[in-house]
Amino acid sequence: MSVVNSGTRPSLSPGQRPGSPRKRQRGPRLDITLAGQSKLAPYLFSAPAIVTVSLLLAYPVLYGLYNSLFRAPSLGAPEEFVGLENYSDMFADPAFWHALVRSAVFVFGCLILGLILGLFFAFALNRVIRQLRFLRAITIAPYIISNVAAAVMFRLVFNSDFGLLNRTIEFFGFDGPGWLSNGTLAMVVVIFCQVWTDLPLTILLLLAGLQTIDTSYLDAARVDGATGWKRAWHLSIPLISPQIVISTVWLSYSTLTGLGVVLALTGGGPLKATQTLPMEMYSTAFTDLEMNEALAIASFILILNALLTLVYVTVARRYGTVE
Amino acid sequence: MRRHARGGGRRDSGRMGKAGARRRGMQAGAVLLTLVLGAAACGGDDSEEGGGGDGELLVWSSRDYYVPPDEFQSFEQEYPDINLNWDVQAEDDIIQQLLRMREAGQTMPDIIQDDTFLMDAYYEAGLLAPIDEQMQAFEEEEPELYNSIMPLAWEDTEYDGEHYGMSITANYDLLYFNKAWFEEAGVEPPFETYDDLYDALLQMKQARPDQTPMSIQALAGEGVTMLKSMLNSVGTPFEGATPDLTDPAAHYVIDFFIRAQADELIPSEAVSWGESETRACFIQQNCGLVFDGITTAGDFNEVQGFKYGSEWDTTSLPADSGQGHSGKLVTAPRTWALTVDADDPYESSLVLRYLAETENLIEPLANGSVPMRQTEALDDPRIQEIIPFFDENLKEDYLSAESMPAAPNTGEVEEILEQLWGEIVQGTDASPEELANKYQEQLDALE
Repeated sequence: MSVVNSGTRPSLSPGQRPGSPRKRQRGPRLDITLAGQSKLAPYLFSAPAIVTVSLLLAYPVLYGLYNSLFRAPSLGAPEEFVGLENYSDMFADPAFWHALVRSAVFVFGCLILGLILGLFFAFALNRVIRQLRFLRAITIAPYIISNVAAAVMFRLVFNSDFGLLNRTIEFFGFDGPGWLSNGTLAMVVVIFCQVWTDLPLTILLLLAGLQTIDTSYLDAARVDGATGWKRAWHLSIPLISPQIVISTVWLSYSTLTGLGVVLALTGGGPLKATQTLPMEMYSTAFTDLEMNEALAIASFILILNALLTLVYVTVARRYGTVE
Repeated sequence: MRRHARGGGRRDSGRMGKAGARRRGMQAGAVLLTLVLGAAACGGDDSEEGGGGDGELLVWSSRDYYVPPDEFQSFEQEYPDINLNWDVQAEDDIIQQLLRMREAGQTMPDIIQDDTFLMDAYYEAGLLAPIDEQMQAFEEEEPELYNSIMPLAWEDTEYDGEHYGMSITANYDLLYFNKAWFEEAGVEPPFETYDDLYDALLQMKQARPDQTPMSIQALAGEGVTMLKSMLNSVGTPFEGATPDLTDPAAHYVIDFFIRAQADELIPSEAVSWGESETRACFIQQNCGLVFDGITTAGDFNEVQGFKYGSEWDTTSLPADSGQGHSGKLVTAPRTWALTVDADDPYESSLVLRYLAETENLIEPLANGSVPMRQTEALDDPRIQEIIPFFDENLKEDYLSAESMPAAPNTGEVEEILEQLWGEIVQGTDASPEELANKYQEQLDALE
């Protein structure tokens, strides 16, 4: 943290020469920093932000965790403290494990596809000529579209009967598959749709990293005869690895908590093939009307997110990607 | 009367020449904002207060088309001492909102409207107030209107000998059919039995081998209505919302659809179809028959070149399998009810009377609402203009229909039935008995 110079300096006491040790003053000791401010000052100035964040973010999370330890014997009845019973029941429920596996497929599918496409577009946009730089702004478009609206749009595109995709396939004389009625294909479609909505931020993060690379490194590599692919693989990608880690954390978080796309696109179907953890949480809360049990799932998602982030950062540290 | 306004107010800011004044202004603004937020967090705004007993009423509806077109103006003219606010909560979460409000110590609205199948959950949660005294006053003060309301409207929400709501409207699902398809195939409705319906589907398939006779929906969360309706119509026993799938009548229904899937009479991709795709298949004339709510007719009629009478018509589901199973047709009602926070139940019940008036039932029907359980309105000639296919036969079926069985665990039951429905629609080698046993086990495991 940098120290701000306030422009004032302690005055010399009478008879004291500059550079000579200052006499210790009697009386109450003032806790003064180099900046001439109390050590409490930074905390006081940060307090409004800390209080606001605590109230708006931390409190609901902690309240949710707290409520996950309760259960109402029937809907609307007073809640009773049950300790970790909601969690033990959750772990004993095959539907939870099914949703966890579906979530794993969904999250890692989105991570792989999102990072590959993100890198591809970031490199492309980094090299784009001045006249086409507006494409960088256009790239953000999917991000400003509601993911539910995007999911509805993709539901129309992937409709097996009248969807644009199958109509195009039919134009070439083939029969298109039932994209949303086949469990495997439905998962592919929801991954594609989720990546479509999350990709812009990934691209922006990676593109920002690429633009900070000192061109002299790339020029030197070019002089040494490195091809574009080698420059990208051995130079650019290692140099933007912090941005790749951030993108990984962001994509992982976004997909693990993402509900809108799956809900609007498949509703968790067909036959629960796309029933991810947030979908399981949603149906527990709003179909089964079991709020505390749903909070246990929400808390699990929160902890899983934190653990995954820890894993990404630990792995990145091990390979020297981030400090 | 006013609709409850959401969102914050407008904030004006003036320009000050000096930085100090600007800073002071910002500080004052911050203090003011803090006070406003604090006040909002502590008390909410006045219109949320409900305020029964002080001439203030708050009404929540689950959809805008259930609200009378005059937006309660004639009610306030008739009762000038009552100030009525209303709002539409269309997120299908009114029960969750009420539970949250009660937990937070907030006053709930006086009157709410929601799907009747949820009323068991409302009642179990202790959110509803009994209305027997108000019904008695209603009968004494306005006997003609009261007697025109079908008894079922009150019976739907009768718990432990007390009544808790008025299910004055109920959706009714029909079979919509493509007239050209039926003529080509030589099919003539109505269908006396499900065996007749199956034969008709086979004839349609023969006439148009490359197309699908019947459009259905099986998307999770949307598509189990037809299965439940059909289980009821062949007499499958229900305990609460839970059907007895091991009953021979249920086996018949499961077998009907297993065969239909194998014979390509229903589309296997319908496992991912919601309302939109199902209707689109019918509108695009890729499917010759669809099972849907009575108000969908309005949407169908808006399609260019696809009009009622010339291109499509309707008929009721049969209530007999043809193999010795018979039951009742069912409707999906909507209920208006008083919450426990309705401080003046009499004033609130006046709103129920207003909502039961013929004018306030017919005009909403034209706006997308569902048919009413009020005989004077049902006999009104304007009904024929709004839903011309609602002929005497259909009206008779509607009047004799029962409500879809419900219980607090309706949602959980439907989740399991959706899996059964999806497995059938996608195609299965399992026998009806095997499927029934598999899913009955899951249903029985529900608390």
